[in-house]
Amino acid sequence: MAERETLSMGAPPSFDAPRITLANVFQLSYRRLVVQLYAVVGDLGEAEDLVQEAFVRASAAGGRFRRVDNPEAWLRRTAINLHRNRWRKMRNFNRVRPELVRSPDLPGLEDHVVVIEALRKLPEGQREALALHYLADQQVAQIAELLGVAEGTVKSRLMRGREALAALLSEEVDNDD
Amino acid sequence: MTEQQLREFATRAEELVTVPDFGELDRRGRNLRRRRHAITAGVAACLLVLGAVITAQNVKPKTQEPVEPPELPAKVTPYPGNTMSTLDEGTYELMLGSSDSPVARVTVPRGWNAWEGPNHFDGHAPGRVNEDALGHATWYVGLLVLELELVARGECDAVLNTVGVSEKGTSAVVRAITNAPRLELKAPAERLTKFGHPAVHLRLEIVAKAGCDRDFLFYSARNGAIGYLEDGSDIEAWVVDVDGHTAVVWGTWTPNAPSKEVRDLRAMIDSIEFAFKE
Repeated sequence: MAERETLSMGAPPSFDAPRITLANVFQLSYRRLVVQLYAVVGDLGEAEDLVQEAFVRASAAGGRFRRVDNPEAWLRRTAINLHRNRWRKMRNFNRVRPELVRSPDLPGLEDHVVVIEALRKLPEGQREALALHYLADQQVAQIAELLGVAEGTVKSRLMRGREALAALLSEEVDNDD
Repeated sequence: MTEQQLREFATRAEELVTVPDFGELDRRGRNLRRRRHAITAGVAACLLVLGAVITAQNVKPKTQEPVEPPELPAKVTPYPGNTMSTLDEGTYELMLGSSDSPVARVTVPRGWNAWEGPNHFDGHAPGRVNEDALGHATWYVGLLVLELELVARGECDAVLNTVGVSEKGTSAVVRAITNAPRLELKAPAERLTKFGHPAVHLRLEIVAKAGCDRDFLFYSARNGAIGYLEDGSDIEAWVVDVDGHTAVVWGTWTPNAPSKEVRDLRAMIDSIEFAFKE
């Protein structure tokens, strides 16, 4: 099957279509994946890097990726695993403490920047759970499997994360008053 | 309310995300796949040769015909690291980072010294070790090939002020280098293919900056902290995308370095090949 076949005409694009290409998946999913990773990692530049690297690996996988049932889930899992591997390496070198420069937030997102700033203040586990549940529509079992934790842990992180996020967002409202 | 705010944030953010060129990502993926296949083919070829050798040893030939050995690659020596000893002329393999990172093979001329990368300087005298000669040197040329993790930034108003560039890609590394204190671009950054990979070519100079005593320029876990040469020194650097890994080739020389030394440095740089260990 040629890498660059176009979609068959007449049928709406879907991941079940036999001739969906990686380019199609990119068009459909790239933005959504970047926003999901943005919420998970709290940094737009890193989120873009992670998602782009996931697409590079999908391209490298060739036929194996084309046989995946849910390409977007595969890409999201790959991006999150890349993020976890990076942070594992960062924690391993402790001779010099890095001063990381956060990438600028999306211009035009000013009305919603309180949300990303509140998410950044949450513990990583709660932030991951909230982003995957509310932005990627993942259920508890799916989140548990992706993050390699028990379902009870995910439920606990979701509950605490919701409470903490609500408190942070209402603080922002109080500060604006 | 919280859930609604999250979803509204996501909806608006999706509208604003900039979409990169898919073709570039696809090309990088295809290169990665080709390299993996080449490594797999190389391993398979080795196994075939090994199998043939074992078979030949187990079968008593009727005639004692000589068996031609497989062609051996040119000799490559593991780079000894910071020993401050004189290197033999030859090709060396430098490790850049973890076992997943590429290695860099570079051909070094006679008489160069082993620091974090090969370097050369005068100041030698009978009975004087290289470390001492460096203290008497009047010129210096050197080569580094690194996977950077931190680059100095700021206006030299902090003891330790850096930007992390680990696994952030070539653009982030180029940005960090061109924004580092006391480094001035002598020409616009140039995108090209070098060492067989996409790269950005930088020509820089180390300049004096009042009130800036910064010694530390960048850091890598493998090589530690790397400092600045003297003011007026030249740098010719390439930030290279080696199948998704960012390597920095850093050639530097002091203002009065002899032309022949700078030519030797450039020849070394031209000899560089990147590879992945099996």
